[in-house]
Amino acid sequence: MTATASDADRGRVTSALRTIVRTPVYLAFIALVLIALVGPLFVRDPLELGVGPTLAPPSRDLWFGTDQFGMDIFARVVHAARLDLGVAFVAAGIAVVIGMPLGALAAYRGGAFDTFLLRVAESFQAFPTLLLAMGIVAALGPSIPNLILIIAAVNIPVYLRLTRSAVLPLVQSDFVLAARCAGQGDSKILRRHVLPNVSEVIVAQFSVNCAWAIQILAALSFIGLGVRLPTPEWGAMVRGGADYITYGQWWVALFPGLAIVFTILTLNQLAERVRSST
Amino acid sequence: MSGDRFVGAPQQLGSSRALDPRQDLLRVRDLSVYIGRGGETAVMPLQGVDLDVHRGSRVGLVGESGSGKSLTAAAILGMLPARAETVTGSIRLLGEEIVGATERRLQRLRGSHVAIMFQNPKASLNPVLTVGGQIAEVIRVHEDVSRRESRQRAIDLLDQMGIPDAKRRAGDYVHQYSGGMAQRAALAMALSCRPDLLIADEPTSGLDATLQQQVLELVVEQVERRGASLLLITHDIGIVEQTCDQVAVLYAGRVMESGTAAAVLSSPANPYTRELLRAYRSVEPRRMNTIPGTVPALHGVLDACPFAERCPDAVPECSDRLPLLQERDDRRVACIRV
Amino acid sequence: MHPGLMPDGSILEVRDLVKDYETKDARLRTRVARAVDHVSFGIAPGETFAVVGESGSGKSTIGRVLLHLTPATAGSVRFRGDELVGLGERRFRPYRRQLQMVFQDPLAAFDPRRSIRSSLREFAELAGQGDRQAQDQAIDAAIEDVGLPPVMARRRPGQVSGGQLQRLSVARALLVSPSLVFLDEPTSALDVSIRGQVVNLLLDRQDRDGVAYLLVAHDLRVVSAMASRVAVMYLGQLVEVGSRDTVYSTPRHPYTRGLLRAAGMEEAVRDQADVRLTGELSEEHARRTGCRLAPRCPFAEARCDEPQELQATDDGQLVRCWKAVEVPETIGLRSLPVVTEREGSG
Repeated sequence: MTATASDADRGRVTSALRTIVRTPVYLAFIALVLIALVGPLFVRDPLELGVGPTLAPPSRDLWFGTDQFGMDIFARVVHAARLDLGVAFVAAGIAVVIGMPLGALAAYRGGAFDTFLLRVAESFQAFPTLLLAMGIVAALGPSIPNLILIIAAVNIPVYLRLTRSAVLPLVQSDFVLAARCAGQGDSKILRRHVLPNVSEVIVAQFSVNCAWAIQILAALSFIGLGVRLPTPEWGAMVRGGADYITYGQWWVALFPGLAIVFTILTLNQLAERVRSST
Repeated sequence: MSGDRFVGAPQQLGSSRALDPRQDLLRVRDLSVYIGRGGETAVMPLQGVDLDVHRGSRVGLVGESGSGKSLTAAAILGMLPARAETVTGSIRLLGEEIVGATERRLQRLRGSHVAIMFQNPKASLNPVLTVGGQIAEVIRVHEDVSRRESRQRAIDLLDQMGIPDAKRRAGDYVHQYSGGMAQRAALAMALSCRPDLLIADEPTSGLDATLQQQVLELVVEQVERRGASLLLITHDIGIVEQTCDQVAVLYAGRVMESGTAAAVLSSPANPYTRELLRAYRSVEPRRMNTIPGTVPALHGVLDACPFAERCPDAVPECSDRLPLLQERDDRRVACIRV
Repeated sequence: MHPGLMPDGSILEVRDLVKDYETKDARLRTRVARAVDHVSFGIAPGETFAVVGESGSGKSTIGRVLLHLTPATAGSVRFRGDELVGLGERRFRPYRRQLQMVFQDPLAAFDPRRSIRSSLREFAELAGQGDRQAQDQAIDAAIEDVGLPPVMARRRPGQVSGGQLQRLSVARALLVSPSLVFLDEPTSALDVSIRGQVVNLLLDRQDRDGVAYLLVAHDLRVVSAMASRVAVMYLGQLVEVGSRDTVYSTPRHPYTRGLLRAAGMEEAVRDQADVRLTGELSEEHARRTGCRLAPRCPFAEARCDEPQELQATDDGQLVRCWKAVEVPETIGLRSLPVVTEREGSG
């Protein structure tokens, strides 16, 4: 019996690998993660001044050209990937860890508890996200941990409501009732039967939320409330290069902008793919 | 009826050219449906199905899960999604071939020559249009009548279906109808363009037992009054006994037996029909007749009788080849032992 | 209470059970719907008590209240003398070994992400099987007991056919050797030709282990095969109660007769005229003080608008219809034994 089980597992793993290699979205996502993780090892120091002439256009040596300080834009874009993706994953991750159990509990308990949490979440979401983030940054200061917390905070209501809607129909489903007939307690039922059955929805949403987190971070940095130059961050880099477009130096803002677009598209498409494959 | 305003008028298809009235109403020959692209092992939910519906007759198509009965209805209406499924064989409605027909041609046939009534009436009626409004719309699509006339006909239809206060009811929406009324409205919609063939796909599943009777009696009465024919698709043999004069029994995508209801239901020739009736009619205390085993899972091309492994009369030869549907006395049977 | 309704030595005694639901109507006003309206009955050890009725009659609700899956609004449910209504989940837990249920749709009754074995293991735990090995043995035995190979336990619910899955559902419920199992439409989701597999299985277990069943169904043939006593329910009330034989051969209430006719079982009914019910079951009818079937009943007259009680006849049958009791010939019944007891609104 054990022999056939692991054979089946091996077969599943190889077919999963094959699917990954065949799907462009999965490859793009893996590329992004790799760039963020190990990319910085292979490029120049992003803060080194005067690597080339200032505002040099893209060339064979400097793939994305240089900015107004003579810093290598390519190196900076690669390094920024670590920051942007890192903040996005951590922030979205915190939002899941807090929002998901709250949403499940709200759906399971129902009643006043549920209504209360729902109203709080809705109030939070009623604020324009960027204004809310701006307000908190203005109050707390734009350090990276603060930014992570802010982005996590605005994402928590999303997971709360998403989990709640996914859990609500399950709470009355027959197999949950069957677990009750087996004498299982509420927490066991939530853990064993409810949460595993909503996890697919959460995974798909996670990817979308990472994309959203990057947008918020980039937007905050663009208006000067996020990461400050010279720390490489895509939004800040776009801001820094925006003025130079009118002088014809398009590469300073374009490449970080493309990085943002590519990342967000990949993450959104990944979410689509995950959702449609379940 | 304010709910029947559309963005643009419904496309006028005009009246279809008259089809040959001497032809059999519906003649299905060797209908097969494949699912799966070429190369992959195809699944065949229907294989070599023969079926006839003559003018003025009421045919019951009986099948349990996995029999392919609803697929047959979809095929007759030309509504199988072409992307995933391939249809071979012939379906002739009043001499007109359905398999491979263009969508435009099919649209002319649907409603005016063949109409369908589904299981869940609240799902087959549009919730944002008034009931009378959507019936009137269907009429105007197929016939050249004024708005006022189509509305009046819709009201008359609802009235004929036994819906009290039809004029007021025509202005109501589906959610304001009870389950039984909604099914009557769905029937009105199906009959609105005077089709030659009405297909009823499980029209009473989900309805309470006492209501089922009423709806079935109404369907039979209306079909007879209009000189139309009925193809009733169901898993419930009792309904067929009550309403049909012809019956065809489907199992795993094959017709096992067909003929007059009187003959087939009183003295079934095919073992599956026989066992199915025994199970259905079981009345003894402390024991229910049943057929052991389960319906075969999705399969490819059959090369043996699909019922062989569960059949109490099976012999080794049953697994050697697929029995063909053949004429025997007063019916057609697919069984090598007959 | 009349022994036809509450046999001596009943292990389950339900008295004046009430269950209300709050719903919102089309205008979002909250309305209270009474699904179970002062229902009383008893179940003797090892017998099958069937409650028959159409959807909306409230029959499934009775079982769910019994299994503590939904709270009762009022009334009493006693199991072997212990009152169950009002017990918290913790105090009710010991009774879960005695009271189990089988759900209507087997595919919904199993966690789609877990293997059958994993789902059954929860019940083996409840049965007190300590270690994993003992649990596995119990699981294997239970699966074989329902005529299936134990290797099936590795599959997920989606990989098992409906009939087999329902048998596994029965195996699961019987794992803890309960005294009473609530069967909630156990064959409704199954094909006609295989419903007998589940029914025969349940009957065999009953013969062997003496388990009692509360069978809720709308399939009158299944009830005919399984029940020893039958109660007919309409819009929250019991309208007829009797032994299986008397209810099937001499039904008295017009609703019972209409149901039998609609099921094509009138051949079992001797010497009685056909009853045709018109119209549909409607929630408004449930608010009537008088007979709730009156708007649809061909025999209705003014007196039917008064509250009707369950009345007993000589042969132990109970009917909630004054005409069936006092003037049976006028509704097409043979002259039947005269009323000897009034039953109250039970």
